[in-house]
Amino acid sequence: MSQGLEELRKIVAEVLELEPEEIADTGDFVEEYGADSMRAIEILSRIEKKYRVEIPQKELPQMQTLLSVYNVMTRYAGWQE
Amino acid sequence: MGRSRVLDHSKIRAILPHGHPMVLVDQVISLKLGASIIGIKAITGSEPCYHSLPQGLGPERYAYPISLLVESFGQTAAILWLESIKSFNQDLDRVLMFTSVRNLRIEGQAFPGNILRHVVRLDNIVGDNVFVEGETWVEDRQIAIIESMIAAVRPRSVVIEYATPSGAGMPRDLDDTATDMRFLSSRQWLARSENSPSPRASRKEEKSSST
Repeated sequence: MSQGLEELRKIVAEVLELEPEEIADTGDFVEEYGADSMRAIEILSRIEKKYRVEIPQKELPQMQTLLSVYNVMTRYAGWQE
Repeated sequence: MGRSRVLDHSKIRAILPHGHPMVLVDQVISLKLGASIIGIKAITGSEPCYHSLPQGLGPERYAYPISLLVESFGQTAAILWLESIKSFNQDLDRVLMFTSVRNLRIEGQAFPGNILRHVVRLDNIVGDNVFVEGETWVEDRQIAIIESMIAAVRPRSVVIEYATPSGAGMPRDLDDTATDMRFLSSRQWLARSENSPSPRASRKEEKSSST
């Protein structure tokens, strides 16, 4: 889990314009890091490109924390839980 | 896909929702549906952005505004998207709205007499959002790199409701901030900038008063 999670942390940090160590596993993107809906879409787009997966837009509301993004990847990219 | 097409100015006028003088693409020299586009924009000294400049300014004051360069790039991207969805027989009753640019690097300037060449590639489509990337060239000089531009696709009816000439019904924060680059509000932006003192002129006053 750790390598994938760290890669995701880097992607999220880039989009939210923060340092990776500032992104906690369960920190809420909107509540704690001031993200808006476009940021969430950017995160989704970058993940799709990097890992060549397709994630339905209906998953967006669930992608609120680093851990929840990881969980989405377990379902759509076959990552280990 | 694969085959490249060209579009003359009359076709561009028919595709883009913008009116004169905010159509900032003159010609499309290559269009690969669903993939990429090359748009051409010739800069002239008679454009509205040079209209109210006082006499006697140095050459650097005639640099083409970055905001218009990005708008011109964005319109080129809009043509790519609009023509692509038309070819896939998708719903056309929607408009593209510029939402953000990430990692824009300006590496040079363009002046009246120069021809901008926007090379735009479709990067990704996520639901109702389009991601593009590309560069702007003047001859063999790369003057701008846009690593990521994002546009949101919205139903035309929703956008028109907010873009009424009086601005009635438009949320205040939308009306007050960053409306210059949103495709349908460009006319409102022009009207506003004509009514308010030119930022260039006021900067000059500041300069002369401090010396």
